[in-house]
Amino acid sequence: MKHIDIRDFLAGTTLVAIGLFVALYAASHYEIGVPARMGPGFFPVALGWILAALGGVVLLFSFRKTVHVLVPPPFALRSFLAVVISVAAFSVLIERVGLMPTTLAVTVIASMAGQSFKLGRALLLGVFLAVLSWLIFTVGLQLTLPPFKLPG
Amino acid sequence: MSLLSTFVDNLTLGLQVAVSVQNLWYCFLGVFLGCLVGVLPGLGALIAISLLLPITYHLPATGALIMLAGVYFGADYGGGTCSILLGVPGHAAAAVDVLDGFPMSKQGRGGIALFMKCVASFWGSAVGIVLLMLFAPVLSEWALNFGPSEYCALMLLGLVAASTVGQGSPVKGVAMMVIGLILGIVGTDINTGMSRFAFDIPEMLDGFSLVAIAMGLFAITEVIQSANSARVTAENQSFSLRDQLPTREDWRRSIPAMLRGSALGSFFGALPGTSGGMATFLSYAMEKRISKHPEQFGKGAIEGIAGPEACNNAGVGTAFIPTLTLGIPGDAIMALMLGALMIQGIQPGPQVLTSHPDLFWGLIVSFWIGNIFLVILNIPLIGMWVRLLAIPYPLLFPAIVLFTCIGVYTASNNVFDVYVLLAAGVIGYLMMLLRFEVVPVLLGLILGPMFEENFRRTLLLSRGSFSVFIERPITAVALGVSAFLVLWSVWGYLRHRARDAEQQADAAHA
Repeated sequence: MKHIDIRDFLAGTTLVAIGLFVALYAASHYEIGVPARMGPGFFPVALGWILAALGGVVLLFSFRKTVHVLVPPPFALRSFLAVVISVAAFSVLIERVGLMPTTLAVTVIASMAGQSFKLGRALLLGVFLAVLSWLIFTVGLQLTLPPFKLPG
Repeated sequence: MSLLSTFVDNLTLGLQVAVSVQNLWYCFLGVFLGCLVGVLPGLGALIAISLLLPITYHLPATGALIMLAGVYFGADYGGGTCSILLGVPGHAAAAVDVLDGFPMSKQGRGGIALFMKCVASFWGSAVGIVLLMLFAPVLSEWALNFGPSEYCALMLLGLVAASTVGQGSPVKGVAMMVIGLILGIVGTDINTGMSRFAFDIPEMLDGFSLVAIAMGLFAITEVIQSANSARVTAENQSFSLRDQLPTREDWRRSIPAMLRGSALGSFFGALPGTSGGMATFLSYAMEKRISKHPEQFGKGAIEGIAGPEACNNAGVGTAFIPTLTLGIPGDAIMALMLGALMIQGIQPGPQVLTSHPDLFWGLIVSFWIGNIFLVILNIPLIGMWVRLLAIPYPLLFPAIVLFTCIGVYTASNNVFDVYVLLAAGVIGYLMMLLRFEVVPVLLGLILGPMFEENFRRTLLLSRGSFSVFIERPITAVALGVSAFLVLWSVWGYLRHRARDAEQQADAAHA
């Protein structure tokens, strides 16, 4: 019986999709030109087709009979969410409330990525890093990063 | 005679640049921060450089490069410390130190292992830098005759080598490189001024921020992947200088190993795609084969540290040769160096040596100074780094996430770059799960615009005839080697070797 290597199958499909999108989008929006006078579309169209072809090869190989059962590494949902939300929080907060409150929020949320999360420790770390980043970036490097801002 | 005098002139110029208070400070800061990040488990030169890249936006060009090079050397010195004391590789290139360094540490000879690692690193660096000083001027003079077709072919060779050699599936590696090239297209086309793939988002007209992509792919991905893993922490060890002094027997066994290792490393360092630990494992295998006591390897043979460490650091020096003279990076770290140059408005290529001699020779002299700093930091002051290893990982990774965000944001004061960081981090993590290498993406992104420019110019000059790629000897050779690399790696992959390697990697992650 043939096994499909699910990861290679997904990978191949994604590559084909991206490649086709790039090639077709570029072909319909930008002028391709001729090799001697290439337009802005030439390079992206070529790369798109190459990528789609490579994706096709990956896809083809995913149908190959696999001798061993491949166990994918588990998806680290908790770490993934914590890190994603903390970076998102940074992007939302930094221009609204200033450096130090942002730092505190990012640190506490990111700390949740680990299994051994302790709120007290995370808050302490947040305060420490808030002072440290203010010293490094605002005081030391003289960047325009106000430590506090009133939202509005 | 005149050759010697130009050499002396150049060195004097370099000394004048490197010994200014400002540049000494950048050099020290670079090696110190590099060591700091390198000592921490799992964090290597690549992450250290991506983390510190945004800071260099605010420095002058020479200072920026001096600092980043210091970070690279520092992370290399630091990486071994973690491998030897914890048995956990600081990063890929230091993984080989675990094999004999950790057993030595368990035998109470950890201090000696650290000392010898440091001596071997210094020796390796010295060899690499001397070769860089000798070959870079020659190579760059030769490369001044290169036309766009040569650049195109050499860049392709660099890209292909980095995406096929020593990785899992070569097809996936090349696909990632193409994705990088596509990401490099985003923004305004320099030839026509037309915006491509910008989707009417004003921030995308300038293309993606290199810093945001690099940090997302490396730092954010690494944190997601490792935040939950249990980390070993060091037992409290103290090292006095006396504990660190190797015996005469240790020296007798290490010195020839260092000589061999540095020769091997110098050779492989200058080639594209071979850094990141491959050469160090070759060096280890060679020492084991040559040794009269191969049974001691893996149980604390000091040659197993001295050889690979010298090899590793020699490669750092010679890796700068193609990067600085041709503008063609051999790996992701060199690609980031090139990125830093471009951010500073310096077009990489053979003209760097002639139009910015102060930068080049200042950088070289600062390599020497940085390595001397590192010996001081790593022999008498080793206790400081050992204590650093006791910092628990749960305190460390939130700090990495935070500094990544601040770094990306302050590089351009633009929240859009933080979105790019987030997207790159998510995609990087998914790619890791799907067994894709992220390094070729970064290389493609950095080299993409230059590659397209040279490709278009080549065909413009040849009036659309592709035969130019086989008529010019250097171009033809570079393309031939690229084609050979692709075929060779595909052949190797089909023989299941790479597939087995992937399974081992999966097993190691599990």
